[in-house]
Amino acid sequence: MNGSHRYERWSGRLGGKRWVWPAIVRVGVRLASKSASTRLILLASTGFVVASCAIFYILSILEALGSRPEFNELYGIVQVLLGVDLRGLVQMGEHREALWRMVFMIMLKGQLACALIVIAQVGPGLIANDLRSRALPIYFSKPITPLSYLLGKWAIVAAFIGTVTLLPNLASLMLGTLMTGGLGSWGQTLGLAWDLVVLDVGIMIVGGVVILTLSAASADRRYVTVGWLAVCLLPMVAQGVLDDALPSKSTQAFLGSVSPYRDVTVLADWLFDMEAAYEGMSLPPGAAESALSHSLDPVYPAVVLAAVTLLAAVLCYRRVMRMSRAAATL
Amino acid sequence: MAVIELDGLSKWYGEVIGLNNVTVSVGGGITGLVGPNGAGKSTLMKLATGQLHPSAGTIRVLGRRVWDNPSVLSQIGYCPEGDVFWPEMTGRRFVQFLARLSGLAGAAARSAAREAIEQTGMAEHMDRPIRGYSKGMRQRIKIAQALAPRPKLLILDEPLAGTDPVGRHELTELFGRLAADGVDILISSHILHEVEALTQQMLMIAHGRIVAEGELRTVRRHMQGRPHAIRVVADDPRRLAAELSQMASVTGLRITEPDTLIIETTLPEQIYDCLGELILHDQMKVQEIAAADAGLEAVYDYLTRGSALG
Repeated sequence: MNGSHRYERWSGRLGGKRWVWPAIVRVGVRLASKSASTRLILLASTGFVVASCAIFYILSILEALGSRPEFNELYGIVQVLLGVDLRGLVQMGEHREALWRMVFMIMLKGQLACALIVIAQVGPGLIANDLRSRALPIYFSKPITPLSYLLGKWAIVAAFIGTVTLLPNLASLMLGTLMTGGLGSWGQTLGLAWDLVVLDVGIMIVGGVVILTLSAASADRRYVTVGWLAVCLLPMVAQGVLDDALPSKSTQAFLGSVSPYRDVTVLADWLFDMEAAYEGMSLPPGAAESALSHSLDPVYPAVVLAAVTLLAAVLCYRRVMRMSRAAATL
Repeated sequence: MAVIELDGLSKWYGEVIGLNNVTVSVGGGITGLVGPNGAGKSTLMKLATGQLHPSAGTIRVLGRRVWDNPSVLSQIGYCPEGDVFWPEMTGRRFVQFLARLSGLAGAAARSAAREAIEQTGMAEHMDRPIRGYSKGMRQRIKIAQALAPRPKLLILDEPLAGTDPVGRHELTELFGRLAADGVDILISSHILHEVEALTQQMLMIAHGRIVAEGELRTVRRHMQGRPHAIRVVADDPRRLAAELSQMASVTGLRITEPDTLIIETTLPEQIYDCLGELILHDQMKVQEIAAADAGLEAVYDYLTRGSALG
């Protein structure tokens, strides 16, 4: 026991509430990063950077030397990767942005799977562990508001979602730009970067809020993980059943927006304006339709995702509010 | 100035009463909050740290309402009774993290955590994960997190529980030093002598009510004249009983075990003197003399029977 310290009351300025949620994020990220499987997923996400840069590189070769017969095989590779045959495309350089958007759309599908896994790894324990270890009394005996607590917890999962989506996307864009001489203008690069940020932040908000709501519902993270997988996978199965059972017109509205996976891809199509991208390239008839995720009006997926997120946010906030006010009795 | 003021404060958990219409002021220095398990100590402390909303009445801490008021919480250091750890965290990270939650930023949180850890004698173990800590070490690290933000008021819920005698002595000394440096401390315990070693200023709580308030010696004075029971473990309790039966102050004698005699008396000091003489002059072999009902439960029973002090 050290008795040499004389107690001195803190006389400096307290950081106040603004320091609270970053503290929660730091600790949460550090703890979650200790899991080997989480690290593996994060490592795997660098594969997206490698893959997209490789495609950008192939596209740049085709732009420059595509007319030579020896590069014909590369068109085949691109067709496999992007789902479109670019052999007939003249002045490919003018369509570079549209082609890059296609690349990011392809990457998105893999990134969504990665995000699903990383959320399942990191998210379930965020609030559930605090409930299990009865840590809420100590949180809420500090000058912390339920909103700061929630913001801190959301930012933890958002940081991991961002690491498998936004970070690789921006890194790919940057490396691709450096490697191939860019998109032609800063406006194009920034426009694409902005779309990627909007899309990935959207994924962070939806995924983060839903997993937090589930995590606040149980002290056992196993139930939360099962709940998360059910929320993600069951609607996909249901969507498949609906698509098969109902006439195609019925699945053009809300019945076509049951699956969150499809909703995100439809919204990404809309955000990246993929329809215009395909049209601009004057590809053979039917090529765009087959490449686009779904011919669904983006309003329906947007409404569904917004409604789910809003409902989850309200439920989660109410739950955390109640927990903060009765932390001592939980 | 009162550090904590309770005015008609009640807290119900459904139909269970946690705290029942309590009006009391807690002054500066160290105040012991003593009471048996389930008396309402933790409820009072949780109300004082803004974790519970009063069902009725008001509570003000450091002159301000505490419910939904983060600014007052930054001046309170709270050590909860139960274990509230993230087991994989090290002690140092745990204290730093909670210092940050209290509003200290970056370097200030780090140095405050380090000092608090040293004060509680945990410097040697601070970089080990909490899951490997003993009960006593866990108590110390909890106290460190309460100290780290350097609060004006410390609210410590059973901080000595689970500590060994040496640790208890060290923590008692620490609390004494903190009080000498101007920190107000409200400390709860269900063991009277634990708190008695720290302070004479007591709040005694039982069944959700304050049954006695003030200095412990005043409480003891009020206890004079009530029947006491003294337990004596001796080789020949029958002979001892025969000697004591002649004393007027002895109101009852019971042999509960072959070597144990329970003496009921209204003047315990006289009995203790007499026992000393019997041991010295009559060569009686006595292994143990103890107050059979000196525990808090007995005191509360007595106080709640209608003789409560104001």
